[in-house]
Amino acid sequence: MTGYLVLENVGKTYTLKPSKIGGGVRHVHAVDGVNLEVARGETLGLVGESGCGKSTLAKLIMHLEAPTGGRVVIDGVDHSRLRGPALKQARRNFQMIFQDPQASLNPRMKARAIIGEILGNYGKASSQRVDELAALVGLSDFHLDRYPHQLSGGQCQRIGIARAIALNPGLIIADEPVSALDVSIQAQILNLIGRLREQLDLTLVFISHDLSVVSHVADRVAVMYLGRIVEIGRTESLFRNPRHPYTRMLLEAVPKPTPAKRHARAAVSGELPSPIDPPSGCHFRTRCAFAGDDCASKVPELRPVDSPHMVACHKAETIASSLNMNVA
Amino acid sequence: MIDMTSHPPVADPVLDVNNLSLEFADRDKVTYALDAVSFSVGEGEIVSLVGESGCGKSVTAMTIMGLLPKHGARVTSGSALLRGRDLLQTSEREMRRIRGDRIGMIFQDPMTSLNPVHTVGMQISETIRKHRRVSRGAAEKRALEMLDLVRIPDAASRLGAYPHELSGGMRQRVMIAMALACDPELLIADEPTTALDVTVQAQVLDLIADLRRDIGMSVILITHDLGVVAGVADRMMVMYAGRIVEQGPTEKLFADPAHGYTAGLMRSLPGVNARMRDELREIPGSVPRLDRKIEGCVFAPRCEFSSEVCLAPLPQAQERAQGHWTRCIHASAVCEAMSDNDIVRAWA
Repeated sequence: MTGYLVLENVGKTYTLKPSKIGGGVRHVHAVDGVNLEVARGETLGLVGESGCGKSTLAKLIMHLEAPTGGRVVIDGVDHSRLRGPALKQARRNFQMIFQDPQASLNPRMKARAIIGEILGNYGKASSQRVDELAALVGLSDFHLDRYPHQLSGGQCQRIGIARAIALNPGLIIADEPVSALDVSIQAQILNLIGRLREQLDLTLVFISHDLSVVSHVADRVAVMYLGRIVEIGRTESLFRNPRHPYTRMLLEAVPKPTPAKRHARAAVSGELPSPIDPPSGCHFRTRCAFAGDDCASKVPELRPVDSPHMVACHKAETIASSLNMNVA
Repeated sequence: MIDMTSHPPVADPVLDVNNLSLEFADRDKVTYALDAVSFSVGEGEIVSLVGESGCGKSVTAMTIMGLLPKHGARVTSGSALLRGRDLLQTSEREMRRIRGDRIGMIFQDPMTSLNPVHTVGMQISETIRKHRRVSRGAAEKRALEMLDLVRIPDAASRLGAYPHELSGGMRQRVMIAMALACDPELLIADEPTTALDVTVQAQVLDLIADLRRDIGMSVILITHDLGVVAGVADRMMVMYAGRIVEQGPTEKLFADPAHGYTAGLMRSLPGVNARMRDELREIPGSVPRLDRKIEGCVFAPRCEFSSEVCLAPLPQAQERAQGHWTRCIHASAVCEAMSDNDIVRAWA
């Protein structure tokens, strides 16, 4: 499979200023050796808790940050070689939908101008195209003549989506696109994204902390923990049969509107360690009930357990036989 | 005017809110924010106010606590009795004694609710010394007990920590410790876990459930998340556009939803009714403006069950079962249509 989006051993390390009261230079490995392929037209869900590196990964894919290691290739092009006008032209092919629809729109521009601006940037200004885009995302003239503060969160997110698809991109990164919305509106936006994906043949990376949303939209899901992908697989397989203890913990922690697990204590222990000085070996070992000696000494590689389902855990087999959990 | 003065009775309620209506008045604009809100909270009970943004759940809590600005917000009817004493008729001076002492509060964002320049130990003892005549040392001892109670590891050393040195989950625990320091009869938790990651959320919700069991506190839990409600609440009140549209025991409401809005919410949840990539059932349209009084059902314009009769002034809330009340005329039709819903089936 040659992916539409390919990440090869991508890493991003931020260097912190040395503290005034001594101590050396410290590093945060926000993204650590990530390998990923997303096929054309596929939707990859990216989940994990705050600080796990999902948004940094999005910035690397969007070429908003340069990776400190590895390569990002979109549709066969490695954009790190591009500069200036060539890069600007290339950017048409990958666009982003943001979390906070209100904050990501210019408060002093009307919706029509916001959508028109991106077209104008590429010399394609056309009021006909703006109307076309508005129709695609379900906005009317009434909405186009309004400022963001006069519109609801859902309507603003529709503008954000119209802007993202305006230049016919092949790839869209949606970073928590529905987290700020109410459930009833969330459903509208998820359906819209789903429809556009089919209509426009989009490749989608959908970042969210909400596992039920991800389970709904994604074909495949990758779970991140402290900068590394710890498990990746087809959505159904991963949700029905999670192999990494962290994925299990995440799935158990999601509050479900069903009574089944009401009095079962969520098997959640500890908190996310600091990414400045993460545990050696497997980053998750400090919170893992199954951790052994090798978990501290060896970094677990992503390996297939049930191809194409991959997990980065030394103990995946032991855990699978000792537990029989069905979350989905 | 039709109102819902009636609500499921609770024996010996800690809090009894009756027919509470509130308007926000601007120079030339009136917003009818709450309309005849009625509910009770029993001893040791966790009740949940659930609804989407702007439905009035936080305003309800703020009104009860007397935290809304005196000019602008106007209570037009109703009472909120804390053990028989009407909080709406209580002076600000008296309310200051009640808040933090008889009613504890926690909010969504623990970072902005804590003072960044004081240690958490100092902030907890401050609350205690504000309400109790105790020495600094005794207050500090109590603060330590409270940090232990909310299961902060190594509590003694955390007393001297500043908020920024703690994680989000730990900060919310500190907020809970502070809210409970004076043994309040009632804890009002406004979206206490919304800013937290799921794993931390699970820990905080477990803590609230445990504290209810161990010290028998009563809790009003305000949330937009039906999953959270299902996990911890004994009873729930579903709010929409300033009204409680349905209320009752949690299992009853999930197993037998009897309002078009509750049904709409349950249907629009992704993941549960999951067949991947299916269209979600959306609730069309958006929340109504509240700048005029709505006589009929507020949800009718968005409701798939609605008919002509829904626009006429509403009858009293009907009781469907013990303690389960709805304001929906088409309750039976809703129930029937929802009988094959996955959530309903899971609770039935």
